[in-house]
Amino acid sequence: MFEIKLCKNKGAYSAKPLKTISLDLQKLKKEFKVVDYTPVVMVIDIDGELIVHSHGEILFKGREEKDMEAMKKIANRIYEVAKR
Amino acid sequence: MKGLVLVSGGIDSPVAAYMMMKQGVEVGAIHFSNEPFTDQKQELKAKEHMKKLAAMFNVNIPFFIAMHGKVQAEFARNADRRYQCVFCRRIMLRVAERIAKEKGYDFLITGENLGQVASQTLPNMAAITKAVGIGIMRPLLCNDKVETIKIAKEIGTFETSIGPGVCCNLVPQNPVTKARLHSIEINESKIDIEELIKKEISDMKEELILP
Repeated sequence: MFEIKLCKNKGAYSAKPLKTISLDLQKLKKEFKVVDYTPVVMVIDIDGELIVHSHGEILFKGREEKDMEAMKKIANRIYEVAKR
Repeated sequence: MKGLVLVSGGIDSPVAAYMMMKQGVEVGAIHFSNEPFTDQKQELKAKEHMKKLAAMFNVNIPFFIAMHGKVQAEFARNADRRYQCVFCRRIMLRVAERIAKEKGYDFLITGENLGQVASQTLPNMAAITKAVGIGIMRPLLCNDKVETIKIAKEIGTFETSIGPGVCCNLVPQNPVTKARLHSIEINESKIDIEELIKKEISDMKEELILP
């Protein structure tokens, strides 16, 4: 459903869906702590800040490769909650 | 004379600072952090660049950090996001102008390079510049990127600039490249610019980078 690897600038791990999807960021507001948001990007806090794009990309700030399993679980949860 | 340089953490701004310092200008630096829409890496890179220049010229460099993310988010929620980059730059200049006046800087310095990104087309730069009255020095304006990279390598800032970082997540899909001042002002009127600028300045952090 998605893959997680370093983003293009290598600054953070990024989850990207394998097929084009659209996320309803408003649904994330009900489930998670929101740090800030715009119409197409939301920053939430799940054991650390994540940047979620409405086109499906999730950027995990401050995570390392050893956190891969945790990132997968978080990504799964976000897609489950917010997928249109 | 004193100049306040806007430093991003990228390749151009430390080179712009260097060019002016070579001419004897005393500089201070201001970094606009887009956290939480990015992480702290760009701020740390900007600081690293200034440390390098402080050591090179054996000077102290005041370093200001403005929390810019909230202002950006307010605009994105309320106005036409195609103007996001133009708005971002106009607010940066306004905040920098106020700091410059308060701290006694004579002009601003930027690493802007014509045509490099959406906000740096001639029409956009003209519209952005109209946000302030203070003079702006742009030593790299007509540089070829290759020239700027060469200097960055010579002064030792290039490797830091291209290091890992989370890029800006607020750039719109289709940014305007020929912004009209009238349209920008209409969009800016949808938010309380003055209040946002005051907040950004009141939340600002200040450090002193020593050689």
